[in-house]
Amino acid sequence: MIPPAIAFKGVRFTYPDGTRALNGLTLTVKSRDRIAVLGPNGAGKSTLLHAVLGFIATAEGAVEVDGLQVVPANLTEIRQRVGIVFQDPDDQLFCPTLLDDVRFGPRNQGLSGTELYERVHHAVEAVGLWDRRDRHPHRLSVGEKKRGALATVLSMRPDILLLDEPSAHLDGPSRRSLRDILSVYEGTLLLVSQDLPFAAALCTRAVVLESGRVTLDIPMDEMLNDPVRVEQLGIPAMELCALCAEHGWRTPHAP
Amino acid sequence: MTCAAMACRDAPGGMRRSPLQTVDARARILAFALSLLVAVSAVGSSPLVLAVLCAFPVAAIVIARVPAHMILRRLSFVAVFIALAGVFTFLIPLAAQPSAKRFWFLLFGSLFAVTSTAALTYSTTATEAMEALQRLRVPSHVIWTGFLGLRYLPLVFGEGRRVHRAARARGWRGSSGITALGWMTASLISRGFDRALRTGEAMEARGFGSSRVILEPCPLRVHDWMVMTGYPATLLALRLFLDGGAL
Repeated sequence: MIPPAIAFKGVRFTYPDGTRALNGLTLTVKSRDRIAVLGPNGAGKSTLLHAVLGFIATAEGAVEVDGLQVVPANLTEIRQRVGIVFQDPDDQLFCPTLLDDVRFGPRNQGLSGTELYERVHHAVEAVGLWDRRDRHPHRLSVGEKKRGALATVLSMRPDILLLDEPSAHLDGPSRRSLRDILSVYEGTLLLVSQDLPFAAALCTRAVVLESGRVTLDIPMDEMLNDPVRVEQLGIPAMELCALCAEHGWRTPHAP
Repeated sequence: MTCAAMACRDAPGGMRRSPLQTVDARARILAFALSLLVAVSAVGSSPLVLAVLCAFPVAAIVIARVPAHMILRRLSFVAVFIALAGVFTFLIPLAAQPSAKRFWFLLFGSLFAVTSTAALTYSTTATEAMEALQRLRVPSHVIWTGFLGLRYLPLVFGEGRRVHRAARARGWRGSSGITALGWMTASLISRGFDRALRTGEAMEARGFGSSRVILEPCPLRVHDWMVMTGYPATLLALRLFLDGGAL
């Protein structure tokens, strides 16, 4: 039996200040699933991503990636398979040039020579930043930084891609550009966002998180046609209608 | 262009290569470090010897095609201190010969350091420098600590400016509360730690510290060796000759 790409089994985690971020979270992500994790601020969405890569030590329960339990002994292996794009690209871009940043991951995977060059070239080209490759990341615009941060992870060819609020602070063209890049990614996608239209364009399954636990896990189109839930997530009806029209989905009824 | 070429000997994007950039970055860095040691050893030398030594890095910046305004800008930072030292050395009656020697060393030493650093930094990108230091077996944690410090300084200053602007918008003035200034500083430090933690996570997520990194073979060529050993050796020989063989 093929193990799920990611499995959360009753995970609990509390921050040192007493904030309970994950409260018995149980979720199974199958290989090639495209899941949007939605929910209000403080629901535990980002913490969930950090648990996958072992950045936090969960108090109870277990997290597994491709059947490997997230424990220190397996972290190197897990981090080869899972790529994460942080919410703030300045946390992710730390090298002197964008090209160096994109090279960082594949080099740590042991790549060199032509193979490394091709990986890097492909990733930077895919995000449309080849002409900016020698720029200092600090000098890029927010949209370019986000795409650059994505390139740093795509160059590692991860089986699983975790995205933390990728569309935050982006204008319309930058969001569309990022969406187009992500739409051709073929691996497992776990996208944490409060931006339902963006998430809906990329994901087939919606998971709503509240107070550290899953309160809803349904197909995305079903979610979009549930006006009460959409309203609860604070999405303007007009925006949703425009999204549905763009994708040819059935326009949800007004609540 | 291969990655080895990018890492080892490529010029920064769009920049016209100077003859100095054809020399391997390792050779440039080591020649720079050794020449500084020679300059420091000339602490008791006469102004003439010091001036002759300074001609070398000046020649290097000409070869490296460093724009004059960059040198002048860097020199302007130390010019004030040198001028002050000159005032205290020559215009105060108590000034004696040893302090005059110290002044000449300060003047020419600063000139030597500024021009040498300019020649090195203008001809060597951060990428080249990191790669070269890795090849010189400097521990990766030491290299990354230095470069991340440089990388995040502009961000910290930017955050500082934003915090300051936000405080001023709410009526804060420098004279109106030292406590608030303390909070702002504490907030900046706290944010700095947060950012450091997140950057650490981002680096770990991309395999930092992995033993799999392969440094492609990139042996030093004849002219790299010549620059690395010849430049400081010539400096040292000239200094010994002019100083009558005294170390």
